[in-house]
Order: sequence, then structure tokens, then C-alpha cells
Amino acid sequence: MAGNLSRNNDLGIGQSKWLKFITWFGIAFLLLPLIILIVYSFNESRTVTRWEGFSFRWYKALFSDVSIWLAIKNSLTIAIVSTLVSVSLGTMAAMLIARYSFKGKKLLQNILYIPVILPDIIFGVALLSLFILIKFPLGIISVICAHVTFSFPFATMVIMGKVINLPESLSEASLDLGASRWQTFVKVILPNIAPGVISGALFAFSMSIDDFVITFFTAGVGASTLPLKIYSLIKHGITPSLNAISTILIVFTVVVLLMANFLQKTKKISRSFKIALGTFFLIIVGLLVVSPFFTKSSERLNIYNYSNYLDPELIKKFSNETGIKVTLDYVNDNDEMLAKLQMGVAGYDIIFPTAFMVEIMKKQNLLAPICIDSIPNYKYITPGFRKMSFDTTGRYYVPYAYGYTGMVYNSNYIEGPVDSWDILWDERYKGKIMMINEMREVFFVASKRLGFKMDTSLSKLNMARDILIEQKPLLKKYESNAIGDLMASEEVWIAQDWSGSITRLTSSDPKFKLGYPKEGVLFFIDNMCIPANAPNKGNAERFINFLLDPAHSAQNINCIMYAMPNDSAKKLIPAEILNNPTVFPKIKNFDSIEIARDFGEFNRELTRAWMEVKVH
Amino acid sequence: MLELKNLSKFYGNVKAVNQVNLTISKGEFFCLLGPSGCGKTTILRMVAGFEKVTEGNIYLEGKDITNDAPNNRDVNTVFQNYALFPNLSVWENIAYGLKIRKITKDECNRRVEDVVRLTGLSGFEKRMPSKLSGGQQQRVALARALVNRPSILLLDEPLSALDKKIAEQTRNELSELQRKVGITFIFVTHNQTEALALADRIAVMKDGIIEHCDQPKEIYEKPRTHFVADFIGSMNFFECTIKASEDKATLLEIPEIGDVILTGQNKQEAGKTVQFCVRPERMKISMLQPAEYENCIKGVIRQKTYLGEITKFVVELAGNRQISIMAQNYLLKLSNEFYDIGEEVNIIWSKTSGEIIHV
Repeated sequence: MAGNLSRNNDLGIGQSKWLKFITWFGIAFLLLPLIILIVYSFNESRTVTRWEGFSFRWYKALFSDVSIWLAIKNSLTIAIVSTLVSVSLGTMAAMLIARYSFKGKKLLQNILYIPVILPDIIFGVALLSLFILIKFPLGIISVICAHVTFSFPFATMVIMGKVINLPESLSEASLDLGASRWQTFVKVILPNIAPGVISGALFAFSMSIDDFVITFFTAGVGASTLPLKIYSLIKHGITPSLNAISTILIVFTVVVLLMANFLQKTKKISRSFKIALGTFFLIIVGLLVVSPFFTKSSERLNIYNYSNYLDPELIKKFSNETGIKVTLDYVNDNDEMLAKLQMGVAGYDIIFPTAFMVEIMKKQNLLAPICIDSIPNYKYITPGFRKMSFDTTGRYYVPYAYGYTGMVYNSNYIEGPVDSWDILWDERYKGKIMMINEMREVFFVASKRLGFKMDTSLSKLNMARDILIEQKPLLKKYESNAIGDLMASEEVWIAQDWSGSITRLTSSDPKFKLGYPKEGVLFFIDNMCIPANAPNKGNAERFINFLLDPAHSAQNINCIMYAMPNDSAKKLIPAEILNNPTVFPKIKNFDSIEIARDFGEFNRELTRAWMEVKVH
Repeated sequence: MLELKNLSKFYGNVKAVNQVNLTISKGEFFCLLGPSGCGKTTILRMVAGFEKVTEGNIYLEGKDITNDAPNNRDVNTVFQNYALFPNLSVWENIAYGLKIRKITKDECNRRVEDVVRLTGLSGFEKRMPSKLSGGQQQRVALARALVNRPSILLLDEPLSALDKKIAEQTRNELSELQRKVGITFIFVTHNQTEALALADRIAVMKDGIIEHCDQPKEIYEKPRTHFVADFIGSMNFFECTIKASEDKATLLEIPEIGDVILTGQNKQEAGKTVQFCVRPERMKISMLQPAEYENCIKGVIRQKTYLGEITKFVVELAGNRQISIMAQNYLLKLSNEFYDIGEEVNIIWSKTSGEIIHV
């Protein structure tokens, strides 16, 4: 009836066709990407851009990945605990602000808005500084504290709306009828503000589940949440697996927000909802009991590695053999690793920096010397890898895996032979060429094409810069993460690429082939290092020794498809992997390979030249 | 028995309640009457325990309850806006106090049933408060308080939110209910009609003090102060001097108007300036000369307002003073058409009517 009574105004305000069009366009713009994402999560194909039929394949892959389950468990634990805390605090604050007048009330109300207005990144940095200052260990609890700080003001505001609308005479009536203050709160106030409390809780919950930035800054050992995990997976390109996780997150968030909305509108909460709420709390208790809070293990090992860069079976085996509880957190790049180490509170025992980063970390005294004597399996390391140029003492690193940057091409479009970097400057493939979005990689290729060894000479650098500028019109783009996807969708025909990624592409479809340039390739060596303030140095050495065992090393190579400098392990590897040049490049003399180094002061010149290329 | 001794409540410099002394006996229907801001609700809230007492004491059955928490007082309140718990049904609202006091289930059910019947709420037990009319909500509020069988029931303007008809009906029921249950009622209102109709005794309040406390008839007929006389009903006031007085008769001189006689009063002090007041409905307009037992003054009709059951005249006396006179419309012609605006008339009232107020 009410709807019939409200009629359109005669002036036509708010009824313009344009207004409607723009509104709907805005909504479509908002929803379309989400719909595409959801649809493609059911795509059979590995690529994001081409439809190859309906499949649950990526959901299956998702649910069989233990590390994702761990991330989900972390996310849920953090979200539930921080929600409970922020709702309790929020209810108290709302009662205080709505019911009592006191000095500084206005100030308190305004302070509540700070986390709402302030950019997350500032909040994250500020919290991190505080945690470091008070020496609060980073872990799940620090993340929970951080989430409480940003979700509690939201909860307060939502709950306050309900408290203000609750007549004070209700509390008086309850006291008048003999109820104590606590009974009054439980029997009268809480049921009447419950819709506000629950929707406040759901807001807090969804904010906590979705948060990336603040979690990124405040997470420590064992606190990888789902968004952090998703971000670390991007390293391997945007796979439908990511779409699948995102779809689950979207569905979850939408359900939570719909519930919040529904509860805001209903006045009375049905019995069945109370039961649902009770079940929810029981689940929380269950989760808390099994959460790592209470699993006390005296022996621990905290690993900080890229995702999919260590066979999870080996970790399980190590844990079973030694009783040491292993926590694996994911890092995205060398710079992030450096930043965590510089904070000094990360608590990691083993990190996997690339050679040039070992050099930087060593200079900054961030690494502990490794006691080689307690690693008997060190003897299996290929001698040429033991005291390399980035640490001639050989005491700060144990080489883990190595690879190189070569080219991958689509043989349907590119005529062979692809054996020189020159092909990346070939006019025939204009718009179908791609380079990695990393200055060291790009300038190495340019230097090699010019016939130089890359060093700290300014004139060489400028020449390299000039041919890169010349190459730029031919490029599709500079890209590091989605190389595989762009190759698979044939938007790019030839790309500079890392050997691991080339291995995945060439094994997925024979039309993709390795291009190994005769001028030489840039090698990278990732190493196992122990941070200077590692809490479990002995366990780290035990784990390194465990990984260097030839059988374990071979198993690891089979899993991650990267070469390792372990000659005894090579004998245990299937021939097709050993003979695959993308995994094991044919190197005659390991002393002569070029690896990316830290240029020290010259980095500034390199960055400048790179910027000149990028903005040209 | 409730006793208030020198009870005061100050908000900063504002004396909301100032040195009030009052004794209310068991089973009494007591009414606190006054304009808004007079402190009547504050007294009620202090008795209920919602407001801290600044000075003085409250005794219930001889026991000092001044500083007891509201939940420890044998007193229940019916709130102005009823304050029903919106999350509970009618039955649950009424049973609330009993459940808190951990009264056995059978006893609880029996008492709730009794009070539901008493307040005429049968059939509404399962409803939520939001699905009730104002009058029904009012009954639930009443039932919720009565079911606890308190020594005293406090009612804060319980009829003010109701329509006039419903309020009148509820008023009658309330009076009947109080006689049935025999609980002391303390009723706060700004509505004098309610107070006169319901109360055994009325305390008229102004600016935190009790001006006059007595039975309704006494309050109306023999107001002790100008405020009480003015606030209850309507009143015509005359500034005058006592010319002569003896037992049972006093001669008053109203300047410019003349002398009037008041009988049935104690002997007054001669020469004193006082206020003489007569209710408008005790005066009549007439062309005839007064009888021996009547006073008479002259005036000119300035306004005439037809009000249904009565007609109200505004009459101008000598010296530009105006008084009002209410005439019953039992003979429509007589009161409404016979006298016209601008006519000079006699204003007549019995020598027994009127009251002297000492300034």
C-alpha cells in the first residue's frame, strides 16, 4: 500500500534517462569483472582468457592444496577472534557514547573515525612501528590486534545506531522489576541491539577476511592469511585457481553482507537464528582449540619461501622424523624478504634470497654465518657453487636452486632458429614480443646483444638504454607475472622468460619452445640463508642438511622443476628431466656463468636508465 | 507507608525538588499534580531509585531506602511511554519480574494469569508489544508492575499518551483496579481532571515544593495559595481589603467595584489586603436584582464563547478588570441568546461562594 501512495514527482527530478543509464552503467562496470572471474573459475583451460569447457578442475586443485587450507584456517581464526573482540569493545564503546555524557566524548567520537578515514597503508606501517617498539612478536596475535583496531570503530558505529534508538526507560523498567544491571544488559539491552551487534560483527568479519594491506605489515611467522596466499600465488601467473579462490571469497562475502543487511532490518531475532548463532560460536571454540595458539611444541622451524618452491611432502617428512613443527610462510620477492628482515621481528629461520640479495643482506649484517660442520650433506654441493662471487667466504649461504632467463616462443608463428637475443628486435613480430619487467634482466639482454659483459660502466649502460628505447615500439609490454597466460592466449608469440616458467609452458604444449641465445643467459641462484636473529638456528641447519640429502634433493627437483647444484642427486632424477635444457641448462664451466649481482652505488644509474626507457 | 523527609534534588543551582515532606498511607491513591518542571516526576524517580537523592530520606514501611538500588526496592513503576520490552511477548513482559525473582513456574503462571484477567488482556498473551494499541500497551505496563505485588505502584503520566476517550475509560478502570488490589498508587500527572477524578489526596507542586496537599474537594474548594487556585480549574481573582470580620461573616471591599460579603469563614483580621477569588461556574449573569443571600456587581459583556455544554462570558468590570463566567446551557436561549455583547448586566453569586487567599 505504501508503495502505491508514493508517486513520482511531477517535476521529473531523478527520472532522466541519462541518470538511469549512467547508474546502470556504473553498476555493470562494478559487477562485470566479478562475473567474468566467476565464469572463468569453471574454465577447463589453464589460461584465463580462453574458454575450453566447464570444469571443477581448479576447485579440485584448490581443495587439495594443504597450504590454502592452512591460509583459510588462519584467515578464519583471525577473523573470528578479531570480530569477537571488536564487537565486545564496540558494544561497550557504543553504550558509553550513547548513554553517558562525559568530558572528551566528542573527541572520542572523532577519534573513532580515524581508522575509517586513514589509508590502510599508513595504519599498517604505524602498527608495525608500534609492535617493533614494544617488541611485540609478529604472528597471529599481532594480526588479530591490528584487525581489531580497524574493525572496532566500524562495529561501534553500527551498534551505536541501535543503542541510541533504544529508550533508556527500558533499562529503568528492567531495574525497576528487580533485574540487576547485568541481567538488564543480557535480557533487555542485548536482545534489542542484537541486530546491530550482529551486523557489526559481520562487517568486522568481512573486513578482516578481505584485508591485505594491514595484514601484510603485521603478519609474522605462521600468520599467512588467504589474501596473502593469493598474492603469493600471483607470482606464478593468474591461474583459474586464483579465480576459484576469489569466487569462493566473493560468495562468502556476499552471503555475510546480505546477512548483515537482513539483520539490520529485522527487529526480532528468530529462534532458529539463535541456534545458528550458537552453532557459529561452537565452531569458533572448536577452531580455537585446534588453532596453533595452543599447539605447544618446543621445537620449531619457520621457513620463509616463495610458494611452490619447496616440496610440501619433504616438510611433512622432516616434521615426522624430527618432531620439529615447521611453519611455512610465503614471500613474493627479494625486496619483501629484505624489508621483513630489516624490521628485525620476523622470526624466520630459513630464507631463500637470490644471489644479489645475499650480498645486500650480508652487507647489512642481516645474515648469520652457517655452521658447515653441522651440515654433513654439504659435501654433495657441486664445488663450483660453494664460494661464489657474491659471498667468497661461502659461510653465509647454501645454494638451493638455480635457473636462467631465456626465451620462450610459439613455433606456430615464429620461424626458427631462435638462438639469439636479436630476435627480440625483429620487426616482423612487432607487438607480439614481450620482455620481463625487471631492470637487471632487461639491461642484461641489451648488454649481451651489444656484446658487452654487464658491469658498472656508464657509457655501456647508456648504449644499452638506447637499444632498449629502439626496441620499445615492438613490445607488447614489460610483464613479469602473466607471461604464461599471455603466451597461452597467443597475444604474445615470443617472450623473455625465466627457465621455470619456460619449463611449465613447454611441457604443457609442444608448440612452445625454448629459445637459448648463443650470446649467453643471465643465471640466478637462490640460496638458503639463516637470518642473524633466527630463533631456531640449529633446526634451520638440520633442515638444510635434510634437503641436501641426495634422495630428498632429487624429490625436490622433481617437484619444483628447478635445477639444484647437487651432483649425487642428479643420478636419481629421471632422464627426461635431467636432459630438459630448461631445467638443467648445458653448462660446461660453472665458473664462467653470469649471475645477477648487486651493483651497489651503480644501482642508482641503472634505475635512472630503466626509468628513461620506461617513460620514453 | 511511604515517608519523604526533607527530600531534595538539586541539578547544579536548580532545585528540582526542595525540602519535600510527605506521608502517604497504605492503600492510598495519591496524586502529584503540577505543571511540567515542577519536580513531580523527579520525586517519583527518586522513590523508584532512578535518581540519586541530594538531601533528605525516603522511608518505606519505616525502612530507609534512600540509597537502595532500584532493583532492591519493593516499588514498581508504570512508565509514561510504557517501556515495554519490544523483544518479549505480552506474557513474557508481564512475567519478567517474577522470572528475575526466581518464582516457581506454577506460581508465576498463576499470578500472570490473574493479572492478565484483572487488566482485561486475555487473548493477547502471545502478541508482541508493537502489535498492541496504546490502551492495550498501557494495560500491559500496568500488569507487568502489578504482578510483582509491590508495596507501592508508581505511575508516571500513564494516561497522557492516550486519546481522550480511551484515557477517560482507562481512568475509570484504573480507579476500580486500585480499589481491587489495595496497593498504594502514586500517580504523577499535569492533568487536573485526572487528579480530581482519581486521587484520595492530591499534592499540588510548583518549583520543587508542595503548595497544597489535601483531598480533591478541599483543593478545589479551598485552595490555600494563588497558584493552586489558579492551576486547578479557572478562577476569578479580586484584590481587596477586609473591611470588617466576625465569626461566620466577612465584609470585603473591592476598590472601584464595591463591597461583597463572604459567609462561612473564620474571623479575619480587619484592614488586611487579601485576594478574594470566585470560580466562574459559581457566578451567574442576570438582569434581576440579587436575593438577600447573594452578592452582586455590575459589568459589561465583552466576549461570548459557545463551548457545547457551557457558554463562557468575559465580562468587563469597572477599572478595566475582566472576569470570566461559565453558564450551563440548560436553557440555551437564556444563556446564549438573551445576553449580548456590549450589554450591561448584573453578576451575581452566593455569599457562601468564594475563598480568601492571604498574600
